[in-house]
Amino acid sequence: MSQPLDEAATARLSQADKVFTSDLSIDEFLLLESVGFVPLGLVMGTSVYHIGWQPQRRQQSQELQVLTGAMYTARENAMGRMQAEADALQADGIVGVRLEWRGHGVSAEHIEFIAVGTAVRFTKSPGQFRRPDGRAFSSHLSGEDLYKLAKTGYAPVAFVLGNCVYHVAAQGFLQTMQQMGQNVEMPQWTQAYYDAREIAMSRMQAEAERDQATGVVGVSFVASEWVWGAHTMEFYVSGTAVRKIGDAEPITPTPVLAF
Amino acid sequence: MVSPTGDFDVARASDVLAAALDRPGGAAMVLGALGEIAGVQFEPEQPGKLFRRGAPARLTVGDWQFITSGPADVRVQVCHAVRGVALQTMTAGPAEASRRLAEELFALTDSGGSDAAMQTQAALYGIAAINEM
Repeated sequence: MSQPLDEAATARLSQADKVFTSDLSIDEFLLLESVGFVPLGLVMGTSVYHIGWQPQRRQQSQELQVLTGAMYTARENAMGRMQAEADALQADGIVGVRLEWRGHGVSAEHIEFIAVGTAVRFTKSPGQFRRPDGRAFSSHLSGEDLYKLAKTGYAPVAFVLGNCVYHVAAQGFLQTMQQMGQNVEMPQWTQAYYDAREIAMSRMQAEAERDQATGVVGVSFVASEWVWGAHTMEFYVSGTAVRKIGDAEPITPTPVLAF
Repeated sequence: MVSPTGDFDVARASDVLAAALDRPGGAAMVLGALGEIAGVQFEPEQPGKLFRRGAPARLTVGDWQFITSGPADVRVQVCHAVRGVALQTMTAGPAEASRRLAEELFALTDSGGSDAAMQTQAALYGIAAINEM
């Protein structure tokens, strides 16, 4: 499912054997090299997307699947293009993946998703860290975390994500009056936020399972209003799917005396 | 399609499905045959009308949907849809599509009880018999 590369990207990546680029810090660079990873080049993918509109019932809490699908597709487009660049470099993996967004400027409904990371090759045994389907792994873990993960006998599989755009029902006038000035839980908001996060989590877990991972590490949650107002939010969850490939090596701390 | 240990034989099921999918019209036959299994959803092909677009046959097993590409096309649209939202859609050849289909059938028989297991075996043996014709 590798996508064809853009002409400019092909030209840039063809220089990767002469000079590498990366967003690794010096610490990350050092640690990754110590476990056998060398950087090949910075890889990137983007997708500018128009966020659509979907009718919603004011009194009903529900997922807005058209919007969820759109927000998911935009991110996957960016990730897929980054993955294609890594595959073109014959990388074993992509580390430090960041999936960010920015407003496009023309309209509030236009946003750009950008996925960036550093493609790496495992020089000790090329191919060992690739995914079960033979493609480069992707991971949002830093170089330091990847070093520690490798020491535990686990390998990253893929940057996995899940999302859910959810409309929370507006509460009635009577309920608003009853809770005025009171310490009281707002059940429809609690239930809606809970449901939306669970749906997003289940999608992330389904991605990990599909990629034959055994777990997901470094999971983070984000809730965004985007352009839909306070009652409609996107819940986004991401992490790195991992699988066991060997035995754990004990990490021996080295004492340092600073003078 | 039972292995010597009595388990569902994913590799053998995949081979049978791949051979069937590789025949002209095979995708529609396979999806239709598997559509009778308990726990599987099957939507037959809907022909287009004056004001309505036609829809290809679609089989849903677990989180995966398998959609025919056309009568003469051996490829199958394979869609990973979780809670109604497509996470991944790909056009797969007979080998790739059959592997995914066999894995999902295994998961279904593993969790769906004896009815699903028996119906799956019956459907697969039926497809294997058609392959030999």
